[in-house]
Amino acid sequence: MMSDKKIAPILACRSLSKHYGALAAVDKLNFDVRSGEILGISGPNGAGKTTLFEVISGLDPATSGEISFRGHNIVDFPPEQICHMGIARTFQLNTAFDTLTARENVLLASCFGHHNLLFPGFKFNRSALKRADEALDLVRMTHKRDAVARDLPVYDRKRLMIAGALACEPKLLLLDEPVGGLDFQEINEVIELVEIIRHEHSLTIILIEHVMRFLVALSDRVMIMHQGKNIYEGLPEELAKDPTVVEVYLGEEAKHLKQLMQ
Amino acid sequence: MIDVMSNPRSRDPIFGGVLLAIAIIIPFLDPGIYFVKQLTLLFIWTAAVTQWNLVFGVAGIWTLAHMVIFATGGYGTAMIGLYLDWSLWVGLPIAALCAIFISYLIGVATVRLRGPYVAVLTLAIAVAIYALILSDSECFTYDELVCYQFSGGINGLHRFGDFGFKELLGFKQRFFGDYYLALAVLAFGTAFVIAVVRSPFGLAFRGLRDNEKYSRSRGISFTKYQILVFVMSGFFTGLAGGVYAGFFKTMGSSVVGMPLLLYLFTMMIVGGRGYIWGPILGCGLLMLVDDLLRTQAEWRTVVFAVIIIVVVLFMRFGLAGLIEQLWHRYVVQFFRLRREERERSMAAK
Repeated sequence: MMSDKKIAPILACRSLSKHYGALAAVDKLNFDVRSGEILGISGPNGAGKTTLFEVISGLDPATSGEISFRGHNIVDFPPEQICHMGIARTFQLNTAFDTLTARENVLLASCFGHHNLLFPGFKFNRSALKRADEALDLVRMTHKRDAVARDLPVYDRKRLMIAGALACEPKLLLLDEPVGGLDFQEINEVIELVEIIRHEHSLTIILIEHVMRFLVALSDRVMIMHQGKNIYEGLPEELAKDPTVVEVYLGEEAKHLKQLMQ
Repeated sequence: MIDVMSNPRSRDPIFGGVLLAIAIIIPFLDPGIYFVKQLTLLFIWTAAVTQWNLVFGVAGIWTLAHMVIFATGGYGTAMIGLYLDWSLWVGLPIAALCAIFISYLIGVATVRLRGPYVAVLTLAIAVAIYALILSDSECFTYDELVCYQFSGGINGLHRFGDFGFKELLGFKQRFFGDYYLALAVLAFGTAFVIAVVRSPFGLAFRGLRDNEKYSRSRGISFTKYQILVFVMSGFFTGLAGGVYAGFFKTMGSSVVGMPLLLYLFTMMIVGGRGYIWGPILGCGLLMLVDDLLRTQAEWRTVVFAVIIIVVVLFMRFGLAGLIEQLWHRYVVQFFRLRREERERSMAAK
């Protein structure tokens, strides 16, 4: 996909910082995300990746800096407003509404996450129901729609989270370690799912992942974070050749990654 | 049949309809005035707890100030009758609207707090109101040198009128009036709660209960829906309070006192927090136990304590949760097996 430098990026972070007391979890971070691309973020534990998602999605406000999303500075916006503007995320710990069924989990998202619903009413909007059923169908969980989320295995809960995010019809999707703890076949299915999402829904995706196979298969560009800073930003192919990345993050894995890329 | 049995959508109205039909018929079976009056009180408490369960159980907000809203309905109705000399039928809806407003204020007060801290603040509010009423000693009116406080103070409010059932229905059937009025408040209140739980509102409340952060990230404003659930639960609670005032013809601080709070709280927990039929089951059981023990008052506390312990340890989801489990295990299974057998025998032909 040709990127035109004149077109403004869909997301731009400038000097973004998040401090917890003296600790800078995100340290004056600068990066852009182009519309329609998949940006992969990785890095050692504690690098600030999930904190970055918390800050962008508004659940944990930034200490300083700017986040520009489709032309608006969203740094002080509450999470529900950011959701309505078009950013949806999934969480590292497989999060769900435990007492709700799979269908209700996704319906909640499609009903409240799509736009600001001033007066919910006593009946569900037909388009909200349709969006929910379609999202559930996309992650292939229609047959489990009446199962209570608490009883679902990890892989189903992860898919449910993705369905919920999609039901909001976002412009930007943030996936936080979507394949952590999954087996080989399940990872393949999620790769396939993300590719379908990307092609059918014209979204931009930022994903955090440690599983290199997943990251490299999907990302157009990769960013590596370390101690809250951006230490590498570029093509996945070049990742294993960057000495800082190798020293800080990949280590022995660099050889394996080089093999993967060939 | 299995679809009706296993689907709450169809099961709830049928169950509710049956209970309502039984309740309507009971007075005509001539069970005696005591029984009719006890059931009236049961309906009033259940109506209040049903709305409390919406905030506490469904939305997961641990409020202990619910009886303040009930008292607003009761005292409001009584005061309108006493000071403005209006019929209680006019005072009742006005007091219920005041109850909505008080409920709104409590919601706003709790919006920055979570979990047990909400319980602490709301308990403090309840205790403060109770103390406020009891400490009211200033004479608002005089009647032949007898001093009457504005809120009734320690003595409570009296002689503010009633719903006029003696004139409407005759002396012998005057208590039927309070009975059916309380039943109506309970029935409409329960229908309202069912409609709310099934609606997008209910989904938002349950979502916030299960995971606030996740809900917010999916577009639900915590502040808006927290305050909303308080407001929505206020009307029928206020009505229940007003019916209480008209039924007992007296209004005292005991409605915001601790003994009653614990009693109703136990009903809610035993019945099943968050379940639609929980309050009816809990209130029904506890009033039955209470009545059986009326001649042995010293056992009352012990038995109640044992019930709470048993429920908390072994039946976390209360009576409603237990029945739901058993229903699925036995009744739904039975109908499913029967249908499978029928399909098999049809295929064999």
